[in-house]
Amino acid sequence: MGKYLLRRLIFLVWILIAVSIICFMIIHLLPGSPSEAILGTGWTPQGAALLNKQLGLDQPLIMQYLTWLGHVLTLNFGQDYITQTSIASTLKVALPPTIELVVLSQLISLGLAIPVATFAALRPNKLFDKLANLGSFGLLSVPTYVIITLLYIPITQWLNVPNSGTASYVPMSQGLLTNLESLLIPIVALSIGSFVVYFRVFRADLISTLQEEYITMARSKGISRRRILFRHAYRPSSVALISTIGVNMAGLVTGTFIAEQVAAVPGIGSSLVGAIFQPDYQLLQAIVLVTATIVIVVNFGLDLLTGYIDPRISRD
Amino acid sequence: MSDPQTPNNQIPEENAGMAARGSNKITFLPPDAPLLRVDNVSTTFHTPRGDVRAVSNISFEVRSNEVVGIVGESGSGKTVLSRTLMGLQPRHGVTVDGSITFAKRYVAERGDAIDGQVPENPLVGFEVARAKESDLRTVWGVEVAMVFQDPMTSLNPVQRVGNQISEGLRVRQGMSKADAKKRAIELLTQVGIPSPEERYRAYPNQLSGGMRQRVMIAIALACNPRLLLADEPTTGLDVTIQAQILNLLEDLQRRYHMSVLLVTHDLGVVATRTDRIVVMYGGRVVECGNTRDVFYGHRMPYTEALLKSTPKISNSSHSRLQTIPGRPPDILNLPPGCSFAPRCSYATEKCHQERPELEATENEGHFFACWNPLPARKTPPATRSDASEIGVDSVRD
Amino acid sequence: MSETNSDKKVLLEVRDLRVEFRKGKRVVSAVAGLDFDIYEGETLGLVGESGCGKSTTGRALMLIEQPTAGTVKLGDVEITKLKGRALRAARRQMQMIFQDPISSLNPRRRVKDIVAEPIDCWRAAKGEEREKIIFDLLTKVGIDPRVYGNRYARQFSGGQCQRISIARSLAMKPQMLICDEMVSALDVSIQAQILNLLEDLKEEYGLTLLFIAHDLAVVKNVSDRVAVMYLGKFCEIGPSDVMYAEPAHPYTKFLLSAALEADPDSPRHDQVLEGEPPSPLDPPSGCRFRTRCPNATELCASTVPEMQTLSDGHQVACHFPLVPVRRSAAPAGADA
Ligand SMILES: Nc1ncnc2c1ncn2[C@@H]1O[C@H](COP(=O)(O)OP(=O)(O)OP(=O)(O)O)[C@@H](O)[C@H]1O
Ligand SMILES: Nc1ncnc2c1ncn2[C@@H]1O[C@H](COP(=O)(O)OP(=O)(O)OP(=O)(O)O)[C@@H](O)[C@H]1O
Ligand code: SF4
Ligand code: SF4
Ligand SMILES: [Mg+2]
Ligand SMILES: [Mg+2]
Repeated sequence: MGKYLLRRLIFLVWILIAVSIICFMIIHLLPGSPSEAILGTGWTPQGAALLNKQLGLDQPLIMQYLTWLGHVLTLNFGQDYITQTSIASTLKVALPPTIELVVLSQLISLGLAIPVATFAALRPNKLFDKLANLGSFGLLSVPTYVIITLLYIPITQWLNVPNSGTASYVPMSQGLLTNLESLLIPIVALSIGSFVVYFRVFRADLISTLQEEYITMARSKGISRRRILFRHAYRPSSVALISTIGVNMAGLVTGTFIAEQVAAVPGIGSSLVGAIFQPDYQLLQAIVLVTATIVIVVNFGLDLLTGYIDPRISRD
Repeated sequence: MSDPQTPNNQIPEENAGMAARGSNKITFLPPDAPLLRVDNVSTTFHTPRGDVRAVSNISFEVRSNEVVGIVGESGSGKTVLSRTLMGLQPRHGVTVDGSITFAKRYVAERGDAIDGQVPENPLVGFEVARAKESDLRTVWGVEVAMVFQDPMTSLNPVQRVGNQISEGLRVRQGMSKADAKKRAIELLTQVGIPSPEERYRAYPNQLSGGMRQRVMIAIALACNPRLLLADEPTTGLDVTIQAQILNLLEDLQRRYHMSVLLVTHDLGVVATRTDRIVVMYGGRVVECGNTRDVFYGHRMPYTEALLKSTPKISNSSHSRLQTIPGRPPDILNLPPGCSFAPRCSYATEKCHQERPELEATENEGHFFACWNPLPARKTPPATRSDASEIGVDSVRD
Repeated sequence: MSETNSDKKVLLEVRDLRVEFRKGKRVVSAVAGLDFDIYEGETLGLVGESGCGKSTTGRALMLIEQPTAGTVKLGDVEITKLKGRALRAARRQMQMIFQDPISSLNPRRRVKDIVAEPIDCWRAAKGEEREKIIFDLLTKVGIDPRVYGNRYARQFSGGQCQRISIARSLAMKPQMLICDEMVSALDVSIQAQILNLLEDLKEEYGLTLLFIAHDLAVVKNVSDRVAVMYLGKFCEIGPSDVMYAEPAHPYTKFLLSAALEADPDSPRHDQVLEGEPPSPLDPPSGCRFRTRCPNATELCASTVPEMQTLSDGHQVACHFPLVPVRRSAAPAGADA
């Protein structure tokens, strides 16, 4: 396990370096000089000279990268020359709602998918399983923004959660309940999207695990059904689920960005769209770097988890 | 042994399997009752391609302390039979007909009103074929245990082997974690696994095939079952490992007075290690009897052909084997008469039309199913010589 | 070699054959120096426990696995020196048949085309001549070409697939067949059919066979001579009848006593070989068998036992053979 951890860790560092290089190059691959890219419409020769000096843009590329990396590692993503604010502070405001959306939707979808999939898998091809399977298959093809639109009336009118409509975002600092209420629609929409995927993966895997010979062997020891499920079937079945969560992460982030746009939540997704239309390349760069890093680190954690759950993975 | 078709001490069915539920209708079995009585058992799989009767009308008995071999080629229904006897066939898509009675140790439970006297070592009949899974669980592991055919797929790949052994002890015998671990390590030592403390923590994929098979045996033996169903416990292992495992099974069988049902396709495995054998072909019993009677006095042509086509070490090199033409029958399209008729050199018109039933020979407990049996022969008395020890006769200079 | 063997013609001469695999920094020496000859027209059996290097030996002789060291001579040609076209031409003289009959045939090809693969590959025959060769081959192995020739391989049972494999291997009229566990996956009744078929074809085509198997009874039934392998080395090699009657190496004796005879009166050996073979990553010093040998001494730990000749063609690599050296036998030569 120790060796495995080290190997994965080295791999992680390499990936992060590669991502940082790609993000760094964003600015340099744009037409025109980097200072043009950064200053955009606010470009003046004096400003450019100052910026070149500040960011060391007159230095060789490798030195520029190292300087930039040093800044980024201390969470200094630079100055937004258009709004005259630091990019770090923009991110600080935009990150919490996005993270909240992602974490809550994952908890809800997993919390529902595991029991529902178990129930379906214990009686495969019976009514409940067939309905759940059919329903999830139908929902699989509906995009998040359509779900949000469809949820709007039921949640605001029928469930009578008035302040969960568009552009009603309340930050957590003003009360958890109102905050949750305001995010209800995107959370439910994102949860449905993930639930469908997790349900299908876990159900299929659990059904095949329950047919494994070692489950029959465990039964022949005379232990209870519950114990067989929890001790013998869940662990091998969760490997596929966890990998799916990892794979789903990237899609989930884009889904969240879209949901933020549709439901007007001032999260990273909204900032990203702003940055693109501005165009504010430094903000763009920071967002790409931060989201990519988070996705990679979460995947790394999930990898370690699968290695822990299935010893065949961590010791070849 | 009595005629397998007409069991003499029939167990009233309404009493079967009731003891576990604390019913007051308990019939005790006589102390010499067979441990397992298989009576006219058939297993049918309902598949999209039609019903597959993988095991048909099988009857035999296993007595206490007895080792019974089940031999047959691939697809003859050995695994289906042993799973059926264990009660492991799924509830859906499979029909089990006939009766499988297991003489269960009687454990008095609160609320049991016992009419009459409780005999010493009381046994009650437990009907496996129609028992609910919750009732089966009361005998699984502690009274009947199974060694599965393929140790690679039958061990949970993500659980340490130690846990898989101690699980039964903890759940079924209520042992504490520490006690169960101690006993599991003891079991690992008993089945001949070197450095058992270390192996306790190993995962199945870290063990060799032979070791995995030993772990399987340790799991099956954990709660001292009285009947062990061993499905090809040595198939795919090297001869030396096979000998180790078979010796181990025999040793444990003697030590714990177990009965063993040894399922195999290898006549060599059953020749010296069983009291009786049952020969299967196309899902049916074609011959059964004392091991020596079947080997030396077989009446059924298939048994003869099987024996003659098995290569022997005592054959000289380039000796020709007798072959059976054709190949084993397809369970989906069994011929209407004798299943062996298409390959049998003695087959007559009748063989193709009518199926022969098991019929008794003058040897006790020896039955065969054939219209044109081989002539009866007298089984020679045992002449087994035990071999010299290695090393004693080595020549040193 | 002794006099009686010298008048037989050697077809395959193997000297100091070694195959090593790298596992990270460590080296698995799967075949650790083999010296043997296979005479024309004979069957040499190769037995040993799983992982001892039997398959690797077979593959190295075919040069499917590049030997790390050593020479293999087929007739007068040293095939370990050959490259490219010459090598492929030499390989035509040897064919290999594997254990898993079903996966070694392409399930999506017709039986006829499978058998014709080597012919097509070498453009050895075309049109009617090709058809005739295939027709004859399939008939010889007991598969009716008119009924089955156009079927796909996936429709066949294990025994039939093995027949097809044999037909294919004979298509280029090889001198030698290497059979790697070719009957291990088959039922006894089918196994007997294939073994008899192999014997017949061997006669008819004058084939030389290396028959690799772990089943001692099967090997005895087909082989003229048998070699016993342990951890990449030969323990003993000799005429099968002599060796099975009087094994000279303790390992051979253990193997034979562990083999189960389908006969209730066969002797029961209660002394079995304990444990499992050590890892080939880290073989014992001296004699490789010494960790499990009841007769091992300090000499066994320090010195590798050389092959010594006991009697005609019966050689053993043990310091304390179980059979006395016959004085008449020639002393062990360089190739022994
Ligand atoms: N679940 C199932 N559904 C349908 N047919 C089945 C099922 N299980 C087994 N069979 C059929 O029953 C027959 C007997 O199978 P079984 O596994 O008992 O053979 P076996 O004697 O154990 O053979 P082997 O030596 O290969 O283990 C086979 O023809 C098989 O195809
Ligand atoms: N490609 C390979 N890479 C690394 N090691 C290998 C490779 N092929 C074989 N080995 C190792 O070489 C040794 C000999 O393997 P080989 O397959 O020749 O044994 P075998 O005698 O044929 O065994 P079996 O009876 O199981 O077929 C084994 O320890 C195996 O792990
Ligand atoms: S009944 Fe007929 S076909 Fe069947 S084994 Fe006997 S002689 Fe052969
Ligand atoms: S050389 Fe020594 S250790 Fe090796 S087999 Fe002979 S007696 Fe045993
Ligand atoms: Mg089976
Ligand atoms: Mg091999």
